[in-house]
Amino acid sequence: MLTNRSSAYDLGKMHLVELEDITHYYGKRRALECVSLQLPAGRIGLLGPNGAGKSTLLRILLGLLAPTRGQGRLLGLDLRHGPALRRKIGYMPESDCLVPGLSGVEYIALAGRLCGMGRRDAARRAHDLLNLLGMEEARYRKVEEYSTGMKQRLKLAQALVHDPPVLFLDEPTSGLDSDGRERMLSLILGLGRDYGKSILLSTHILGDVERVCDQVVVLHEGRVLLHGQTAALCGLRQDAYRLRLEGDVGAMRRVLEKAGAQITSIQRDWLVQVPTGWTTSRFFELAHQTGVTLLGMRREEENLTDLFYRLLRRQAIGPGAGSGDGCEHGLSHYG
Amino acid sequence: MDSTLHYYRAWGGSLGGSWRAVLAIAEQSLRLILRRRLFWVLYVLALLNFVVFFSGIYLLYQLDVEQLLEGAPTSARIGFIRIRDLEQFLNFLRKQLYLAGTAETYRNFFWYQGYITMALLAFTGAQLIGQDYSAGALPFFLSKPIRSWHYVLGKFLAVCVIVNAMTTLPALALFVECGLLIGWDYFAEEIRLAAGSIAYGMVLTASLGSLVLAVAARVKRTVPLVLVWAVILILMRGLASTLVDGLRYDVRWRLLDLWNSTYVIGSAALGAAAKLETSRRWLSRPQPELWEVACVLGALVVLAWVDLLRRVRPYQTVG
Repeated sequence: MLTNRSSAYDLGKMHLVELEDITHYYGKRRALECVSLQLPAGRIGLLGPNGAGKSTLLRILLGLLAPTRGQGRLLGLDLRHGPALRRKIGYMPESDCLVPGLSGVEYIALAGRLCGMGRRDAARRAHDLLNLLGMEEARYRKVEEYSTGMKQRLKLAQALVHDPPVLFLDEPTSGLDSDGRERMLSLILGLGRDYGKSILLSTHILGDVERVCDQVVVLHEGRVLLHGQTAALCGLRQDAYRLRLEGDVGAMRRVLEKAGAQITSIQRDWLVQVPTGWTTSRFFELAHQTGVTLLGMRREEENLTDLFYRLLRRQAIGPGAGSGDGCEHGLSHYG
Repeated sequence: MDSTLHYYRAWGGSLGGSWRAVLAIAEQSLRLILRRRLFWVLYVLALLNFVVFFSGIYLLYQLDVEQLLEGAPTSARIGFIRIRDLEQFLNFLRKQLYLAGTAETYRNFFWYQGYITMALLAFTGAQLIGQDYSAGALPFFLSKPIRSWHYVLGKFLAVCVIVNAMTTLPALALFVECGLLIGWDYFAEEIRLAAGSIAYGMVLTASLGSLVLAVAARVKRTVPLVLVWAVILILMRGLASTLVDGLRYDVRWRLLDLWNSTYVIGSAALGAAAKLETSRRWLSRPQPELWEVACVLGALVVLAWVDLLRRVRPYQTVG
């Protein structure tokens, strides 16, 4: 029977995640500090550079790690109820997490049985999912022989095996080429949009979040730096253009700076950070005014790290700020 | 790929308890071990010992019957082998190899089976837990709705099956053989030997199984695991023997010999004296008290489990 129904779990009336002052220390090292969030069901991006606390937050949400301080709920369930919680979550780790020696179908069936499915149900479900993910030809091959893209799909399949209402995906596009990345993101988007899965996508790639998620939480040094609508975050991104010019470049620099652009020279090129609302046609107009020939122009999207630090400077939330015992809620909500 | 999602089927079944996961982990672990050629090589070697005992018991019975029927002949022929001094040969089978289906038969079988069991356990330990660490499979298991002790229990169940397939099961087959050859009364009169064999197998499973899993969780890779295992079971045995039998140190030093400790308890379960084999003769050597051995083994098992559960911690699961 082909169905197109959304996951049976009614997420409409409750928050997906409710966290209250979650703090966690590994020994003396702080991993999370005063994280308070209320996230509705949907597709949520968890963004942050390495060491931001994403993995620790995932561990806590999976019920695998008890926070040092604070409390929280996921789908109304207390985070201390680990196994009950994990019945509602499908988790796709960043690491390979494959069991060498098993075939693809055995691996997925094992995942189903670990979730409490019967042997026959698990086998049937494994075949279904491998068909769905276009791996029917490779189902009897050993998992260690799979390509990176197939491994990623296999990891997604094991997360989906018990049809959970919530998916935690940790760097799902890691190691994929652009085509594989696009296909993986389409799949994740489809699961969220068409099948009602709530998705928590942990990544350091802003583009992945932009493609899939409607909300985003940005972590930095264990604190929530920002959370809100993805579109609003992407609106904060300041794009830059790499220009190669010929002619009176001094005049061009002056007019660009007058127009509010910031210029950095990189060898023969300029990296020009433009103000909001800038269009590429302005470059051609200014080049025409100053008699400069525009030999090349390439758009360079601001990466996450640069965006972080620019936002940090802008919002004056410096690293270590408010690191005392009490939780001060000076977080930035937008969108 | 988006279009393929039209074929996504929601799953509406009910999920069972976490005990299912324990069985699944045990089954998957066994499946992986049984697929390895090395396992079968070691298992066939282990069965050679069983075949020697099995055929020895049969031979002794046949020669006994011949002796009874033919009025104490001095020689006999088995196929093309001629036995010149039958009486001496029977004494050798009965009193040195203990093949008469007595408690000593089973005790010796377990003792000899130990060498190959140790080798097989070193291999299975690396396969069972070490591989999950090295391949990063632990997050896969522990992110499912189970606790870490479900995972450990599943692995331990797999070890139970391996150890008992090597020791208890063949010992029970020998018991059945003795019963069929000697007479049905044997089953009733010597049932304690079957129970003793099962108890011996349980002691081996609990002690060696727990220890090999704990060592595998620490060492992880096959070669280092084999080396550590060899130190624990072979070097310590040599050391204990040197200290107690050679240098006449206190008999408690023999507690260092883990295999001997399981042997002392197993022999007690079978109702046989825990003699030690020296130059192919079974001699009475000083042994520690049973309670001392039990305490040491018990403490070792507890320590192994505590360490094992500490090593398989959930927060190791996310990268």
